[in-house]
Amino acid sequence: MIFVALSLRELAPRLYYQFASLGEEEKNSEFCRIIQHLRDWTEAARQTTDALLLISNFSSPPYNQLGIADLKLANGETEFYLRLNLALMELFRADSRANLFDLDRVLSRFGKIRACNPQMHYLARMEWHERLLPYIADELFRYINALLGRSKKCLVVDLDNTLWGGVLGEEGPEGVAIGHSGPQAEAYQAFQHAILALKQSGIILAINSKNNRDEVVELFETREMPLKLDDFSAIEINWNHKHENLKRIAESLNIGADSLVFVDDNPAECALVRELLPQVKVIELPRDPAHFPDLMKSLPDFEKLEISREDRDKAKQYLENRQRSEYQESIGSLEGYLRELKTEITIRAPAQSDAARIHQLFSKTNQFNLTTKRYAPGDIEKFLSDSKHVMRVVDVKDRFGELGTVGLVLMDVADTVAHIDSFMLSCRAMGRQIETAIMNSLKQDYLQMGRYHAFLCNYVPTKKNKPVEEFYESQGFTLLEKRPSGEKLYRLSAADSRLDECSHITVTAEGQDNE
Amino acid sequence: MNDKLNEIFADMFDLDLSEVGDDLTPQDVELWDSLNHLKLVTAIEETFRITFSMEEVNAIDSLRKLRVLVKEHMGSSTCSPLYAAGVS
Repeated sequence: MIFVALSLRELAPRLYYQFASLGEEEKNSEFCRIIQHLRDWTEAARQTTDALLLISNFSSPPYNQLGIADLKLANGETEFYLRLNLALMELFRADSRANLFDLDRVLSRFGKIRACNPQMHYLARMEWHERLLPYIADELFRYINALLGRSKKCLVVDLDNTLWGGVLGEEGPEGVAIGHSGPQAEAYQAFQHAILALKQSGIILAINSKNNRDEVVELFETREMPLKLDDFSAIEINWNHKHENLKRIAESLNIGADSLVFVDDNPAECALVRELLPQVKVIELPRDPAHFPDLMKSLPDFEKLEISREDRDKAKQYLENRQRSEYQESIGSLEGYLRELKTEITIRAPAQSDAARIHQLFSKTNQFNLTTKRYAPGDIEKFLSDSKHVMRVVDVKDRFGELGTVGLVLMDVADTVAHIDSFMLSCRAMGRQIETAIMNSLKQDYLQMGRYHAFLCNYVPTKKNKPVEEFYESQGFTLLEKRPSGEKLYRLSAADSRLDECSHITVTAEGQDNE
Repeated sequence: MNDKLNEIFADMFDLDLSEVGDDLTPQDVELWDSLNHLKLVTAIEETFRITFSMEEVNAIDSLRKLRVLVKEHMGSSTCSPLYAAGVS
């Protein structure tokens, strides 16, 4: 990762020191020069490295040169900084490699007047006060977390004194504090809004509470609250141990316990979960609900570089998943269910606009992932553009709705052999033989059409990809070697390739390679 | 104050406390370059909650001079404008 911290004082000292004396033309030409400079720099960095580029915006100084009157001026100093930062935002908006670092906000959060030690600036050209550095580091950590795919997937909340004030069992549905009836109620209301915002960004919500379920349902039905019961994709309201509930939540959502963040006000409950299920990140709420909303917004755990269409639709998709399993129960047999699902998949060459989703799949797919290679945006850019790599993404829909882009295959190709570098499927698309349909299509397109003589591939074991340990065997590949590390190497020649029965899935393969 | 100052000084320049004496100047101490000079000044400002002026920072040319300045600041009640404003 390359981090560029910008300062107008360094980059354009005339603007910084003499803004009030500059004419319109000069301001505009400086504006264009800065933007062009950054555009050129980003382009050069893109060509010479694979790193993620992180470029700061400009922090407006703590005071305007012309004071409050600047706010009445057209193209005054205030407006100049706003326009400059807006131009930067637009420059990087659709860019999966270059990302904006909101330095202005970090400095505001810290306090602009404290952010620079003027003596150290004049003595040593130090732009920032030493005490600001941990705040910059915290913000950088958000990007690193997201880049490495360490973001959590699900927020699990307690109910009493967490989503509302008071204990439901004691106060009753009408008695708990939520809404606008007082300071406590308003703080919980704001906290619920913050949680709802996480859901909009693709975080799954779940409930883990010791309560009587009927009373909770009644409360959700009778009290006006930002969060509705339908916003939660997994609900455990009972008198079981909370760590056991958390395990069940992870299982029902088909994600690892290490993808969960659990929020509770009770120190004893928090300690117990930390002790017995250490994979879960536990947030113990402070005593005063006034601090809950900002605490939630400040968490780095849910950060992602971009919010994809899949993220926006995720909660809906989990709801559809629930409908799917109810439907399966109503039909009875698995075969009948898979047929009636009417799954349609499209296997296509990715477009530039898929880059963010591709990065997400590489960084977050754990179970159905044969090699678990975590590629960075720079690598992905290369795969999309060079002729040595072939990438295919898979969109899935069925009678209940769209699952989105949930599958990915990356091959690197030599003269006669295609090596399957990565093969993965999002957990929500598992268990309906989509993988077989994808493999059939690859066999047809790349082996049976005579393009390559063979596929080579491998399985690299991780803690989480046990479910696909035998995947290549099941698809008719020949095991060549099993290494002491557990890695297995396979080959499938064109002559040996046969298609497996998978008639319940309709496959569209589009966009052939341009080699 | 004297002991604490010696400690910070020894720590910053990787010296044994027994080597620390008031006659030491940037010429005598290998690690006393311009960057470490500022780090030393910052560490002392933080520890004693005082602030040197830029002129003073540039005038510190020995441990003796530094000690005199720290004493002066500790003795006077004027503190930095930032500390005075409650911003620290």
